Amino acid sequence: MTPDEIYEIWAPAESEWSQWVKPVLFAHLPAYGNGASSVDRQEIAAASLPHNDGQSALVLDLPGAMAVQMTGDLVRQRYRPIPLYNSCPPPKSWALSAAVPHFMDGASSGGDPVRRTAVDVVPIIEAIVAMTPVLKAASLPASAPPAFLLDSQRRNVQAGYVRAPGAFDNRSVSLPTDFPSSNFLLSRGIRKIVLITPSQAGPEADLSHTLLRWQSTGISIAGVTTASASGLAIPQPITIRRPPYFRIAWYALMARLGLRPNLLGGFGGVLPESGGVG
Amino acid sequence: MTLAATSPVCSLSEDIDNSPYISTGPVLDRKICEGIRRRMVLECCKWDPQVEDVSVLQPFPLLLRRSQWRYLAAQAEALAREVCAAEGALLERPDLLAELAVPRRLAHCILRGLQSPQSFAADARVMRFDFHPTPTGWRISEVNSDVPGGFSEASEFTAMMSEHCYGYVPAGTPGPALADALVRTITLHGGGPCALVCAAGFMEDLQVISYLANLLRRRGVEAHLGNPRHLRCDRGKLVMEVGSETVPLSLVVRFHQAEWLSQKSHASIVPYLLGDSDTPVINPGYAMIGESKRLPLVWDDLGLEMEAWRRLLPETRDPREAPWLRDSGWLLKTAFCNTGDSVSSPLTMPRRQWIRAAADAMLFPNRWVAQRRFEVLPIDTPLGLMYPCIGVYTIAGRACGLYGRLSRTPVVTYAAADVTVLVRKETA
Repeated sequence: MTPDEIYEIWAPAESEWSQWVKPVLFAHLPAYGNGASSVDRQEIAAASLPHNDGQSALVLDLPGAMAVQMTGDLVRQRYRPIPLYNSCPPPKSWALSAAVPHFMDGASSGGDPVRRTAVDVVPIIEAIVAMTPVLKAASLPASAPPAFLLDSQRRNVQAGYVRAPGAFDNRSVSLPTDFPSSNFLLSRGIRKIVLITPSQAGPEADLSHTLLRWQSTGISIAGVTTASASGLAIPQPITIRRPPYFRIAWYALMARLGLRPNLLGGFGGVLPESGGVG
Repeated sequence: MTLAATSPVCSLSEDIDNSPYISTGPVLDRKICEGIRRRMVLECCKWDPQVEDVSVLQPFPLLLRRSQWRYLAAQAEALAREVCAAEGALLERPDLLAELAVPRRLAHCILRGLQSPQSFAADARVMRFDFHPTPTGWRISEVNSDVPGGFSEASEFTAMMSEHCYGYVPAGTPGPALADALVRTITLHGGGPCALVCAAGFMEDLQVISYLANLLRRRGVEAHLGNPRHLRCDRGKLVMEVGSETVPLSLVVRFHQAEWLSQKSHASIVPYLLGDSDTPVINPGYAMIGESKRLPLVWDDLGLEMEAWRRLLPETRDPREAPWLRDSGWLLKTAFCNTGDSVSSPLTMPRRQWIRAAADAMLFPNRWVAQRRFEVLPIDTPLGLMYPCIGVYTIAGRACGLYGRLSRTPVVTYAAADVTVLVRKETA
């Protein structure tokens, strides 16, 4: 399948949710889309996913490619997966080259293998390619409600990453502008958001900005974790705490600049430089 | 600093029309628009096609008469000449750099760059002037002289839309034009690899350099993406760490705001990236001078006429010398305001934000300017009344294309939509 055909399956013209599909990883399919055959599917019983009552949308904030790997379960419940990955893989030449000299002996101080990329998004690309036939075969109706897919590790560096010249820092943040507004959701009959996370620690700080905006307009937010071995439990209502700098006009810029601690961890005086691009 | 001699887009004897009235073309078929959007995201590095509920690629064009384009081009070329004159004049008055709110850490580097101007950089020097239609004619809000973007939208999106708009054509293709200019500079400097650097975490910047890198690769240039931390200076020349290799560079495209380089972590590379090295850097560091919204405050001190700027830019004063607190006919903006983020007025923002901005301007007036508000003429589009902003690119001082944006509010911010600007085809 060509990148264009893959994109068409994930962002079909007939679904109005397609406009929110983030194209970044799809644009990198020509370089990275060939290693997809070995991708595991995340087997979570479809029955344990929140029931599709036509009034709920899902937000899957799960590590790495896990949310994409749940595509089979999502489409069985007639949810349309909407990838919201906003990070680039490193340039191919970067990924293929041998160890960077100043990374010394190939082991980080923590004992993990040295990683030269902060967030490994290649497995996500591979999972997208691997799950494309599954999504295509599902023939979802245009009205299928959305399941927004995120990488919960987007703001964190992977184990073994050494931040040094030559390393590739591709951390990212999720912003309210990445999602439909609450007006749009309500106008399409979406009254409830179910947040699926790997643990009960609560939503990521950046995602809280979006969830709280939705909650403040009457959309109910429920949470469920994937931690249970028996599959997902029943979603429990959650109240989103007001994150720092909520609704400040310059939040988006500040979040990316890293002018405040705890976000990208990197840029702009308070935080050190946040590194590379693709 | 000195622009290469170029013939202007038009001479004064040609038909020129300073009318600020813009018309809109028809909305294209939905399927055509979807195809264009797909090509933009997959082939042309347009990775932010959606902001909340708004598709940023508008399905209809803005239309200008050729005589209007000639006017805008002539104004942009005059403005570009005056920016370069101001840069040159600052050499005689380096003390005024502080007036422009240039960070102290960068001022020395900027001066070094001015003292040893990379004459070769002028051949690919790129700026974008943002014009707004007002009841009293065109006005400019700023020049993006440091890191202007929008090349993919202004070139590829515009070309795709024009295929479906009979009788209208793009004013130019600034992306390919810039790539050609960069290739000429690279060829003059050994024909080696090129690095394109931007700040991390800024997808909108990454897509700009990715697009330019693709254009350069198609022209046979070895192009690498990275950030300033990947660069270092080796015996006066810039090199880049690419994987395990150290790559000597024939050119660096700096798509990284100069003022953001004032962080300590960039200290080792800034003197070469903004100042003086044997490797050309586009845009050069002194490009941030024109970017400062406080530049008009020193025109008189520099002894410059700045005829085009004085005619087109609204009155601009130091916040201490303008009645912005009691007169809502004035607005505030920071000296290095990007994409309208810090444009502040009690009429256009929540009260709490206005108070915060006003307090900052009172505490740190030398980081802000007060500027007279101008009324932007909204245009009736198929999507309702919207406020247009027409960016005119110049490369080496020559106007070479248009970049349109439409906003629901008079202030054009990052959330503005991209719109194609087409020019009536010349009749024989």
